[in-house]
Amino acid sequence: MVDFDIIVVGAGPAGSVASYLLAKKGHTVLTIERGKRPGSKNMFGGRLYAWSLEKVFPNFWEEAPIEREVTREVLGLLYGDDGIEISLNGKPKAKSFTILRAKFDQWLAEKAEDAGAEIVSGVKVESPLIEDGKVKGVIVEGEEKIESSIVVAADGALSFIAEKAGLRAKLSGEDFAVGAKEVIELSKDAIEDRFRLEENEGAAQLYIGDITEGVVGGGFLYTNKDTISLGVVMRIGSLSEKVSNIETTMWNATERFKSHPLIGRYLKGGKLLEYSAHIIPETQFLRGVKLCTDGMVVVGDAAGFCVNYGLTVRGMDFAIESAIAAAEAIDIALEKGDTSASSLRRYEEALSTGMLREFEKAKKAVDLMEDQRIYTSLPKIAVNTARHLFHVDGKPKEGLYQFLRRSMSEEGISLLSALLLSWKALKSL
Amino acid sequence: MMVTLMDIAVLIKQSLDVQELRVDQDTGKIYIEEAPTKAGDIDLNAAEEAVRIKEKVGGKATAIMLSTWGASGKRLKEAKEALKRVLAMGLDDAVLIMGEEGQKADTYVVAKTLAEVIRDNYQLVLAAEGSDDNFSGLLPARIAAELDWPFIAYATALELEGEYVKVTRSLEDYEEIVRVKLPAVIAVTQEINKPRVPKLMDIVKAGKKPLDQRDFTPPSEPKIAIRELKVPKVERKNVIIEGDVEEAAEKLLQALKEEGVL
Repeated sequence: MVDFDIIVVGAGPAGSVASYLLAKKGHTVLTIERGKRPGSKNMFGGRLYAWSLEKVFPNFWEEAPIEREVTREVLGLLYGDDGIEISLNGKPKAKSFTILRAKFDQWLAEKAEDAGAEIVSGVKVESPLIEDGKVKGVIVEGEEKIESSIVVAADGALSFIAEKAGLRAKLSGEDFAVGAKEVIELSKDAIEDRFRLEENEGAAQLYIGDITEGVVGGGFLYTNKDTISLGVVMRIGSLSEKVSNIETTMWNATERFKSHPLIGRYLKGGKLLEYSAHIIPETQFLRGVKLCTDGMVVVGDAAGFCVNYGLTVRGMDFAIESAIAAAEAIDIALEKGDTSASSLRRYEEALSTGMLREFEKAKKAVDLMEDQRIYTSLPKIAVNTARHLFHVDGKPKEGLYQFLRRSMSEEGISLLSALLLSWKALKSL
Repeated sequence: MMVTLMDIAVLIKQSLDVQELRVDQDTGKIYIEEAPTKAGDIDLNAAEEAVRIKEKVGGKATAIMLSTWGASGKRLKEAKEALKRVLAMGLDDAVLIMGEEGQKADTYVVAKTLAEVIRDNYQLVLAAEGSDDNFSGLLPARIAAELDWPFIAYATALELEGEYVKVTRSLEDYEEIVRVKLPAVIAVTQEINKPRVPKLMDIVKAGKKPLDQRDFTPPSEPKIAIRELKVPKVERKNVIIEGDVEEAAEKLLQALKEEGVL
C-alpha cells in the first residue's frame, strides 16, 4: 500500500497545476513545498503568457491575483546615456499578464488544495526513494520515507530530485543564467501615466545594451498594479568568462540599468520594496534531460523548460503546459496500473508535437542570442545611427550608407556578417 | 469537576510573523495586513510540554486559539495552518474562536472569552510566557485571574505529582521550585524544552484531527483600544568619514570614543 498515488515535489506553477489536475481526477496527491508557503521561494521576471493555464482554468484572470494585462511591448537598445525604444501598443489576441509570484503561486496552490491535494509546506525533500531501480516515493528531512506510485519532480531550476533519479546530469553554471530583480513601489497613476496605460493595462519592456558590459543578457521591466518589477538577466557562462565576481557584476548591471536616464525616468520617486535573485535554466533543454523514468516524471524548470527568444522570455507557460501533459500521462498510467518509464513516455510524446518542437526551433534563437555582438555592437551602432540621422548642425552630413559602413567596420563587423546575422535573426524569430 | 485526569488546554496565539513584517522607515508605517501570521514560537514549547505530559500520564490536550485578526479568508487559513502545526506535534484537537469583532478585542476581552472555554473543561492551562509579536505576557495571568486559579510564570520545568504540579521557575538571580494544586495556569519559557519537528505524515494526519471553529462574540467591551502602531524613529547622525583606510579608521575610533560608545 502506498501512502499516496502521487507525490509532487514543489508547489510552483508546474507542481500546483499537476497536483490540481490529478486531485481532480480523484487520485490522492501529496504536494511537498520547501518554502514557508507556496510561492515564497519563487521568482521570475514578471510576465505569464496565458495560453497554457487557460486550458486548465478558462478566464483565470477574472479570479486569479493578476497584476495587469500586457498591452504594451517595448524593445529597447541602450548605449551610453542614449537609448532607442520601439513600442507596440494595443490589445493582443493572445493574452499575457504581469503577476507577482508570491500571490499568484499561492492562489494556484489553493486551487490544488481545494481539489483535494494535500499540500505541506516548509518540508524539504532530500531525495527520491529508489528501490530496484524504480522511484517508489520520496525521502524527506528526518529520514522519513513516503511512498507513492508516481513522483512528479517540480522542484525548480536546480532539481536535485531529477538529478538524484538520474534524469539529468549534474549541471554547471554554464547551463544557467542568473537574474536579479527588484520590486519598486510606484503609485497606480504614475505607472499609468509614465507607461501610457489604461487602468489594468500593463507594459512589458526588454532592453539590451552596454548595461551588461558585453555579457550576454539584458534588462527587463514589467508594470504591476502599483509596483514595477525590474532587473537584469545575465548568462553565467558568458559572465564567468568576463568577470570574477558575479554578485558585484549583477549588482552593478542592475544599478546601471536603473540609473540609465531612459529607465530612471520611469522609476522616479519609486520606493524599493524587495530584491531577489534566482537562477534560470535558460539553456538546459539543449543538454539531454530525460523527462521520465520508472515511477517519476520531471516538469517545468526542473526539466529546463525555459527559453529566452530575445523578444519573448518564457518559462512559466511551458511549466504549466508540461504539467498538463504530465498529469494526463500519469492519470492513464495509474488507470492501467503501469507506472513504468515506457508507460509514462506518453508525457514526452504529448509534448513532442508542441512544446518540444518549439524548443528545437528556439535553439536557433538561443544560438543567435549567444552572439555577443547583439549585446555590444548592435545597440551601439543602432543608437549612433539614429543620432546621426537626427543630427543637424548646419554642416554637410556623411551619407547613411557611408556612416553605417564606417560604424560597422569600427566594431569589426563586415557587411557580410551583418547580413548573416540579420538572416539568422529573421529565421529564428 | 467531572473531567478525566489530565485535560490540558494549550493556548496558541495567531502571532504576526515578525520576520516578514515590512516597515516604512520614512513614515514609520508597519505593514501589518500584508504580513503573514503563524503560531508563536514559545507556543510551540507549551504544546511540546503538553505532549510530553500526555506521553507520561495520558489524557488529552487541546489547542485553543482566539484569533484577533477578523474573519478574512487569508487569516482563517493561516489560523488553521498554525493549529495544524501543533496538532502535528501531538495535540489531540483544536478550538478556533474567530470573528470580525476579534479585531477590537484587548487582553481583557480575550482572557474573559478564553476563561469561559477553559472553565470546567481543563485542569491545566499551558501558555507561552509571551507572544512573538507584542510579548506583553499578560494573557495567562489574566485568564488565571478570571478563573481564580493559581498562576505560575517563567516555568523552565514541569513535573506532575498526582493532583499537584511541581514547577521550576527561572527568576532573575535564582531558581524557584513551587508546588501547586491543579487546576492551574502555567506560562512556560523557551528553555523548558525543544519542540519536536513533526513528521510529514503527522502533518498530513493533523489535517484530519477535529477542529472546532466557533464564532467570536465579545463577552464585554474592551478596555484598551489601539489608536496607531508606529515604529520608533531613530535619528541618524549621518557622519561620513573620509580619507585612506588607516586615517579613516583612526577618525572612526576617535568619533566612537567621543560618543562614548567605546
